[in-house]
Amino acid sequence: MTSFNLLNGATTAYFIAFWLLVAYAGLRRETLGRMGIVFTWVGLIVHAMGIGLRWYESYQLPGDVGHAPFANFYESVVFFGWAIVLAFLLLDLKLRRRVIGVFALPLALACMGYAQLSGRDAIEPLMPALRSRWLTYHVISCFLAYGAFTMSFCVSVMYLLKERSRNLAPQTAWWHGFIGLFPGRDTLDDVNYRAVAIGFPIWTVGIVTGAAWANYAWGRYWSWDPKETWSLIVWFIYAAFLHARLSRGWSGRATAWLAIGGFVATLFCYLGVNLLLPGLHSYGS
Amino acid sequence: MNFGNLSSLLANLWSGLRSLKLSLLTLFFLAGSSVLGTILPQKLSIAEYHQRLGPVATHLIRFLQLDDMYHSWWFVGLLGLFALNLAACTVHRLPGVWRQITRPNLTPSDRWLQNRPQFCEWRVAKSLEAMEHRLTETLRRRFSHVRRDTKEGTVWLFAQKQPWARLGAYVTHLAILIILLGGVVGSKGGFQGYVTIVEGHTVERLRLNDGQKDVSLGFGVRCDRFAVEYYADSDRPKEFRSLLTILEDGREVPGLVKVPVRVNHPLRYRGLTFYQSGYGVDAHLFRFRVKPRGGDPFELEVPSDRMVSLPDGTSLAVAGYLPDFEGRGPVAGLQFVSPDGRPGRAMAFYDPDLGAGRADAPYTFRLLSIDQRWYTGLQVSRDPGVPLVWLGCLLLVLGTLAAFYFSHQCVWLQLKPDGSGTCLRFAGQAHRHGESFGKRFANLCRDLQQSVSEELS
Ligand code: HEM
Repeated sequence: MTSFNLLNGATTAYFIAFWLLVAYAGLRRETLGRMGIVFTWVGLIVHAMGIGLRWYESYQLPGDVGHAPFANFYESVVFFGWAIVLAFLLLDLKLRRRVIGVFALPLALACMGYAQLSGRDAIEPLMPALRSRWLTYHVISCFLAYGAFTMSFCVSVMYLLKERSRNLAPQTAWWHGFIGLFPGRDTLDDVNYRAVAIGFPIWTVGIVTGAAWANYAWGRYWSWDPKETWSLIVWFIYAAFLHARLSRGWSGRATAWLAIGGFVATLFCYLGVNLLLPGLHSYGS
Repeated sequence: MNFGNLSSLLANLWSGLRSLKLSLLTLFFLAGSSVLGTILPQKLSIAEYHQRLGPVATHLIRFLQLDDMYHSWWFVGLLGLFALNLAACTVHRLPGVWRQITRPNLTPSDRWLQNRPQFCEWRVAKSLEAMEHRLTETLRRRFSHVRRDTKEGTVWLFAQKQPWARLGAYVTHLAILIILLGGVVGSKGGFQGYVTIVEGHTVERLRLNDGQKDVSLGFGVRCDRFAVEYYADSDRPKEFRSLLTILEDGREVPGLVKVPVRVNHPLRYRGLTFYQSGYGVDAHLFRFRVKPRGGDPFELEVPSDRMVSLPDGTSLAVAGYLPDFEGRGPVAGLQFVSPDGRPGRAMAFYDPDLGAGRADAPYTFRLLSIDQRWYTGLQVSRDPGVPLVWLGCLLLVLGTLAAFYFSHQCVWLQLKPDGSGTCLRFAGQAHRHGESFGKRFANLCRDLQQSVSEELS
C-alpha cells in the first residue's frame, strides 16, 4: 500500500459520496444523504492516512529527503482538497445539511483530479530555501483558511441560487425540492459570515508565518513578491467583508458577492500566481 | 472664514476620517492597486517599459511611479490614509468600549433589560433575601465573579465572561499600526546590501542594494569555507553553507569563529544579519608560461589580486578572465608596466592554437591553469523595525483570534420585591455567537429557576 493508492482511494470515496449526495438531492431519500456523508468521512480519513503515509515514505527514501508533505504543487493541491472536505464535514456536523456537499465535493474532487493529472507525484527533495519548519506552519495555516473560505463560497452560491429562485416564478418541482433542501437564507448568510470569521484569523497566521519564514530565508519579511501581495489582497477583501458586515450592516446578496470575490482572489492567490506570474513562490514548475 | 465654520469643517473632516466608509474604500483601493502591481512588471528600466508598452503608457508609468508602485507616492499615501483612518476610528471608539467593559451598567432599567437579546422573567412567592445567596451561587458556577448592586430595595446581580474579547478588534487595529510603524522604521533606519566573500578573504565594506553606495560594516567578516551539499545520488543541492568568522580590529571574536551560516539560518552580529543567498567560483591563482622575446620560457604564478614582477622589472597583473572562450578553454587578460613605465596589454589563451599577441611584444603568454576558489554571496540587512513588526504580528494574531473566536458575554439578574414575593428579570447579551449564547442562556435560566424552587421546597 502506497500513499498514492490511499489518495486514489480517497478520491474514489469522494466521487461516490458526491453522486450519492446528488441522488439524495434529486430523490430526497435520507438514507442516500447519510451514506454520502459516511463515504465523505471515509474519504477524509483515508486521505489523511495517505498524506501521513507520504510523510513517512519521504523519510524512508535514501538520501535524507524526508520532509512534511507540503512542498510541491502535487502535495499542496492534495492538502487543499483535504482542507475543503474537512471544512465541509465540520460544517455538516453543525448544520446537518448534506446538500452543501453537492457544492463542496466537486471542488475537492477537482483538487484531487488536478493532482493526479499533474503527474508530478514523485517525492522530491527540498531545495535549501524550503528546508524550514516555518514551511509546515505556513502551509497548514494557509490551507485551513482556504478550506474555510471555500465553505463561505459554497454557501454564498447557495444563497444566491435560493434568492434567485424565490424571485423566479415558474419552477419545476425538482428544482423547488432541491432548493428546499438548502438551509434558510438567514442561516446561509450566517454561515457565510462564520466561515469568513473562522478563516480570517487563520489566514492572518498564514501571512505572519510566511513573513517570518521569508525573514529567515531571504532577509526580508516582506518584498511585495506577487504571492505575498495576493495573500494581502485576499486579506484586504475579507477584512472589508467583515467590516461591511459587522459594522455597516451589509448582509445577504452583498456579502455573498463579496465572499465570491474573496474566493476568486483566493484561488488566484493559490493557482494564478504560480501559473501566470513570476516569483519566489512558483513551486518550481 | 469664521470660527464656527472652521470647527464644523474640522468636525466634518474628523467624522470623514474615522468613517468606516473610508476604510472600505481604502481597503478596496489597496487591494485593486496591489493587483495592478502584480500584473505590471516592476522595477524595469524606463527604456524597457517604452519598448514593451509604448510612449503613452510609459508617461503614465513615470508620473504614477508604477515601475516601483509599492513605494510610489500615492500608494504610500494610501497606506498613510489607511493608518490615519484606523487610528482615528480607534481613538473615537475605544473609550466607549473600554467604559462598557470596565464600568458596565450595574443597575439597568426594566425596559433596558427587556430589550436585551436574551430575556426571561418570572415571579417567585418568596422574599428576595431568602433567594439571593442561592442565585448568586448558581451564577458564580458559570461566571467566576458576580457583582451586586442595590437601589430602593431592588437588587441587581451582574456577571460577565471574556470581556477582553471586545478589545480584540482594537488590538488588531493597533497591531496594524505597529506593523506599519515597523515598516517605516525599517526603511528609514535600515538598509539592504550584498557582499561576496572569497574563501579565506575578509570584507569590511558592504555594497547597498539601492544605488552604488558602499558602507563600512565596522567589523570584518571572513569566509573560511563555502560548501554545497547535495542529496545523495543526486545533483540537487541540499544545503549551501558558509563558515563565517567575525573579526574586530583584525582579531577573531570568541564564539563567532567558523559559524555555519545556511539558508534559513542567518548569522546576526551588531544589528546586522547575514543571510546565505548566493555563491560562485572565483579564480584566485593563474599559472602562465611566459616567453620573453628571444629568451627562454619560464612558468609564472599570478594571484588574482596582486601585481607580480618579472625578472626584468616588468610588473604584471591579471585584469580579467573568461572561464571559457568560444569552447576553447579559458582566457585571461593581462596588464603590464614595462621598466621604463610604458603600460601594455596582452592576452593569454589556454588553447595553444590561438594567437599569442604581436610578434614585437616583449613577452608572449600562455595560460596553463587557473586555481579557483568558492566565494559566498551574503544578503546583509539591518532592519531596526523587525522587532516592532513581530510585536505587531503577534498582536495581530491574538487580536483577530480574540475578536472572532471569543465572545464577551454579560448577564443581569434583577430581583424586585413584589408584594409578598419577588419578581425576577434575567437578561443577557453576547457580542458574538448569539445563537450558542442563547442556548447557554436558556440553560442558565432553567438552573436559576430550579435553584429557587429547591429553596421553596
Ligand atoms: C485590514 C485592516 C483591518 C483589519 C484586519 C481589521 C480587523 C478588525 C477586526 C478583527 C474587528 C473585529 C470585528 C468587529 O468587532 O466588528 C474589527 C472591528 C472594527 N474595525 Fe477594523 N480592521 C481593519 C481596518 C479597519 C479600519 C481602517 C477601520 C477604520 C475606521 C476599522 C474600523 C473598525 C470598527 C469601527 C470596528 C468595530 C469595533 C467594535 O466592534 O467595537 N477597521 N476590525
